[in-house]
Amino acid sequence: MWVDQYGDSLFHFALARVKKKEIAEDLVQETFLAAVKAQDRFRGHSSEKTWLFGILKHKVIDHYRKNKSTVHARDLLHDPDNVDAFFNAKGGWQSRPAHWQTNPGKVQENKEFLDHFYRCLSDVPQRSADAFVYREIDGLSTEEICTRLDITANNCWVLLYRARMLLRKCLELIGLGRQQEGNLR
Amino acid sequence: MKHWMFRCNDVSQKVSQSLDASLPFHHRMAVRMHLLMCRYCARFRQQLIMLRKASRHTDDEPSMDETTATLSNETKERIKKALRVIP
Repeated sequence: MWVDQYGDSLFHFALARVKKKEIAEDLVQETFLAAVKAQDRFRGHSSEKTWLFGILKHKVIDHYRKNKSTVHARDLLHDPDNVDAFFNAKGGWQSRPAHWQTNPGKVQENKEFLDHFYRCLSDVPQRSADAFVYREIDGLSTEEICTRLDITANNCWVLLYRARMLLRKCLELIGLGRQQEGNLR
Repeated sequence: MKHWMFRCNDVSQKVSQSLDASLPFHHRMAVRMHLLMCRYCARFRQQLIMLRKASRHTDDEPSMDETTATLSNETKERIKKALRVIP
């Protein structure tokens, strides 16, 4: 039974993101309900556990979307649809990517990073966020995303690019980035 | 656009695309050359890889407070009951 097998690890993940026991429990319950309804669509490409975590991550992002309580990326990023503004007229970085105080190999263990990550993702415009979630969380291919969103491959890459640009900028703005020009690499 | 003259805005797009599809050989080479010379684009690429790792992360190491915070039997039963009523 999924609940006995995966309930606790899903609950840990949810609790670490939303901090409140009751909300975490609700998200886990919603995850199992959604999984049971969609089990015919479980393709076996990933493990059952990865699939269940994918559903939970969707739920966590939805939860953040509905409950805006902290800094919003949309407030920080003047025009989230205009990623051209990240570059100057010569095509160089308008605001150079800062050094992140996070060990790249241990990003999965960094709770603060993961919290910011999900909050920022919930602030990315819906369509770009959907493409990103399908690609990076659900592991769909470009072709599968194109079918699901009814778009061309080029459009898909544009959406993914936009999501990644906004996400990394948001993470930087809410505290990961430290400009250390003397210690760049 | 001459591909050996990629600018940072072009490279950032190509770097993102390279995570989803295979780039043509000459684009791949041009991006690689640019990344060798531009620390900011190299940093950008590493950050996109970190976003990917964060996305695929599943198991949290429970912190001290969370170690004891498991789903109670009562909650598990409630969820199982809810699942049983799904047709």
